[in-house]
Amino acid sequence: MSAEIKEKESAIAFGQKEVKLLTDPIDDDNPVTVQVLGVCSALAVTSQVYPALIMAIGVTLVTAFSNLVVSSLRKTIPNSIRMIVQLLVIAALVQIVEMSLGAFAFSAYEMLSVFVGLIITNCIVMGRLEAFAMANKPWQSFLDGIGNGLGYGFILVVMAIIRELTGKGSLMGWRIMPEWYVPNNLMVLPCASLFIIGVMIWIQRGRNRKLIDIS
Amino acid sequence: MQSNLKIYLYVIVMTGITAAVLSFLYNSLEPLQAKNREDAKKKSILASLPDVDASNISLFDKNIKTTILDAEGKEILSAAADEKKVTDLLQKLNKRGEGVKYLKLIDVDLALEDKFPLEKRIYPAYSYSDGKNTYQIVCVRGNGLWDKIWGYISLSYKDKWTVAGVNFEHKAETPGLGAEIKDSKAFKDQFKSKQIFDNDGKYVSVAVVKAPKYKDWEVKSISGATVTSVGVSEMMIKGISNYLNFLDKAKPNSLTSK
Repeated sequence: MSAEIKEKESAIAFGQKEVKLLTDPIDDDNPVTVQVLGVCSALAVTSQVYPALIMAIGVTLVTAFSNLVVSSLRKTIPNSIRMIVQLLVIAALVQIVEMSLGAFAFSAYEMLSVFVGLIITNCIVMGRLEAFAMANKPWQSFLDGIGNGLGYGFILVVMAIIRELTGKGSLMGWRIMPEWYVPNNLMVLPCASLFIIGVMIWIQRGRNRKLIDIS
Repeated sequence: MQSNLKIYLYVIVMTGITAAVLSFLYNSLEPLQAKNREDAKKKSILASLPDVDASNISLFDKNIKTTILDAEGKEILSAAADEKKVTDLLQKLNKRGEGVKYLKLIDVDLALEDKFPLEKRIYPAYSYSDGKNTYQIVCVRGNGLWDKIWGYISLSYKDKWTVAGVNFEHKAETPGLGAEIKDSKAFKDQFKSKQIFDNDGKYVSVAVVKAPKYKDWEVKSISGATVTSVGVSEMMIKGISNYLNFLDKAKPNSLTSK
């Protein structure tokens, strides 16, 4: 009886390990800058803060809930079709996100257009299912999904702030830069994200030496 | 063999559950999505009008009447048509096939008309009147650099037809370059007061060129977005030409002479 209670407690506990699951992907184990996953969408949807924010929320929800579902089913999924089942779960969740955006956040839905559908191909989601959810309990997997989504979202939003501010002179559509500032068109092109992401990786590794040669 | 059976069963059950959840959500959320699409279109049409608050969608229902033209520019549904005529026409249009199903007049869209051969297409025109000002709004659609571009052109008539305002939309033009046809107020403002007929009454539309020579019917293109600019120019020429008969009849003089 006591062992059962202990098992239940540990299943939804929020100790040091769980905090680490949430915070590690934001810096030391960041999915974009350290694991180099989800770079395509990081280049594509970061020209403005609003769509970047919505994309970050979308990926966080899909990663967290697909981790939760797959982890709950992990003992029943036949090994030979595990990736197909994972894809089915991801595709269904992405469809749910897409339909919800179309119903409740139409302007974001229009801005993100094809990229919402492409969350299915975002390597972070599949990567976390294979690397974490298939071998861990649902609660921990859910937190891992949230953490990785936040890590991805953090990079996306920082890049979008830099690009929208310099490329359009505004933030969330509001003009911030003074009138004399001429927006730099280069910053809203996808190539700008490449060197912004490069500089971010450079700063991160300069600050945290243990990350050098990790990926 | 047994493990194969287990795999088949697993796949069937998983797919069945997923399909059921998705269809339930689709059926629950589709009405909201359809309403959003309709509001976005109304907003886009209102945005082509000068000095009109496009976010106030009720203005569309209050001040705008829809006319439908056939491929030759003849009216097949007048702005004054009653509910029955509208329903009859929509039923007739839906019989053309290609999966096109219009439930309301606002659903009539050039994007769907693209599926039909030229002679079967229809064109919606919108007449705005708020008591003080009257505008005719025409729809245009063409090709940008990456995908389709479209827009609404509002025209006013004093002694000639002039552009009162434009609103362009695009599917996938480059942000900061081609996408400026939608985002740049300065680009759109250039179209205001341009004529669509030259001084001899010949149809010229509004051309988007690098160095405008004729200030009455030419505007400056976007540097770095030549293909999109040319696309807008061609879209204007072809698009407005579908409405020449309609515009001729919509002249205030011809209305009063009737």
